[in-house]
Amino acid sequence: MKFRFRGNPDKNTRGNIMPLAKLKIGQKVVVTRLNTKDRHRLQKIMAMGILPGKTITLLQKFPSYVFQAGHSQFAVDRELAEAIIVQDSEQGI
Amino acid sequence: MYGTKDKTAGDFLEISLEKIETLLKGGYNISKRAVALLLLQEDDELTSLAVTAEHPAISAEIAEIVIQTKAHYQEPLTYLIALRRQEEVNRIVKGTVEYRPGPKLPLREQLSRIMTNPVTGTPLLLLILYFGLYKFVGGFGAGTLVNFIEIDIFEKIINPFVERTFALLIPWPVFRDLFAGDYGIITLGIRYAVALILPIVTTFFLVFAVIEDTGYLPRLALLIDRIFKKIGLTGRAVIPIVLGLGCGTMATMVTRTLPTKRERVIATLLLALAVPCSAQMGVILGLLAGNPKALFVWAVVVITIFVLVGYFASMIIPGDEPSFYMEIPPLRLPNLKNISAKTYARVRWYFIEILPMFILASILIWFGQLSGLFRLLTGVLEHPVRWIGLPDQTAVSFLFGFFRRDYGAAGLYDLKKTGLLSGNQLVVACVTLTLFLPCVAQFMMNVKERGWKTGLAISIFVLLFSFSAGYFVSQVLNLLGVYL
Repeated sequence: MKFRFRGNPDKNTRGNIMPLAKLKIGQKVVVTRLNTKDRHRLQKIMAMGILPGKTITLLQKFPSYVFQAGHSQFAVDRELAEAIIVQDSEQGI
Repeated sequence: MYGTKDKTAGDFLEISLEKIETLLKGGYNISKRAVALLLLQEDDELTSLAVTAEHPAISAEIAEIVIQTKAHYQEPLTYLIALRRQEEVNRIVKGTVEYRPGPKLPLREQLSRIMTNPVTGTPLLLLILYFGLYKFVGGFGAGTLVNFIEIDIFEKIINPFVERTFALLIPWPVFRDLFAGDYGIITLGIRYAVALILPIVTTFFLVFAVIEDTGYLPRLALLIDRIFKKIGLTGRAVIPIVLGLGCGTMATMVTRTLPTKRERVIATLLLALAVPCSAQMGVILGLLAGNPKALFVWAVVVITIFVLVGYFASMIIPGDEPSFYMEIPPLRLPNLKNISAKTYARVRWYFIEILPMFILASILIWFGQLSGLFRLLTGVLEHPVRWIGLPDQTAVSFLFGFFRRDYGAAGLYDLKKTGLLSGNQLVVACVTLTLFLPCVAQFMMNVKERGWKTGLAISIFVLLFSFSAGYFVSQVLNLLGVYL
């Protein structure tokens, strides 16, 4: 089964939608949905508090993806970074 | 819990929650709403608790509500609930917290970037390993402290006293040897644990606690995750593997913290095969000192084997690919009180786990000597030793190395001094000894942590592999005409 979750479907959809893995370093984006077939992966992303509406900033891409979310920093591998779908926008929290 | 009722009133999730709340009769020590939320998220622990606490008819009704609610939504309920909880958190934070970011990057953030950038992070890692492990643990712990406790305390004071006492207490030499001989429980087992292991692991734990408290380990984990993925592990495994450079037995114990069985098996295998502990490293550095080319060949061979065996193990051992995620906490200055408390607690815990194993090892050696079993095993070991091109005498070193590393190495030292070993043979001996079964304590820990089947399988593999690798290295060196 495949989950495709939409957080806020009625939010305006300007800006490019892409996975976290495709961002440039320093880009500030809003999470729009989590895209993964794997329930455990979903749970791991949620455990970091990464949910639609959250603003995150990408800090580093190599060797791992590092991003700032609120006052915390997290590192994830490519697979998890591909599963976090974000929108290029200054909106959000 | 999360809900602002007015906002969510009338929605399916809220109605289901209220229905479950009114059905609940048992006592749970937490609010009914919390229980209902956990039931909707199919929390294993609470679901089984509710089945026993509630009347069967009510349990069935609750289960029906959970099924209906799940069917109503496309997304899993855990996800929806987390989302709503987050909305509520954001609402509170928005109205109460003001955050003004500083104009420039703070120093700790700059330092953090240096640690996680591969270009600057790799040399930094090497510096930490050199000063933390090689200089402090290897030089001060395994050198200065071990010499002091071993020679000044045990050999001069305790051992003579124990031998005199037991000579009076036990008239039969056979049983006296069990406690006070060359391999006695007190003169070998306890001395080994107190004089050799205690200072090495204490200094190691001290360094480890400092590194841990600064917040360096998560940064090392993200730095190394890509490489560890190739060998079926994630960056998280960096903690047991680094610990393995201190003591493989303890590191094997720490593989408990890895999330999947597959990762635990691979880490245990690599610790048994290709991660030399501090005692082993001391021995090898001593043997190869003064021959930098030989040291280089040894290091390249061992690292290559670590990567290759990990790579093939990750192909063969079934299970899902692990995923890596980790919070990167801010860097902090370590606190002396925390470090000493942590080091003390770990040394204590470790000592309680390890001491019985050393005592058991002494008993095994005593029995092996007494029954002639050791002579037999040495005879058997001479064959593979000859096969990898080493003199027969090295067989003793291999057997004893399993029980007592310093003794095994001492044998090799003597052989080296008498000129019986060439540079090539030394490298082959060191490679084989590094890969060869770790000490008896680590073997027992493998069995304890992974069970008899896996523990034994790993040991047999390590035994066969170490001699095959030794053979391969000696053949390649000969073929290439390299004389080290």
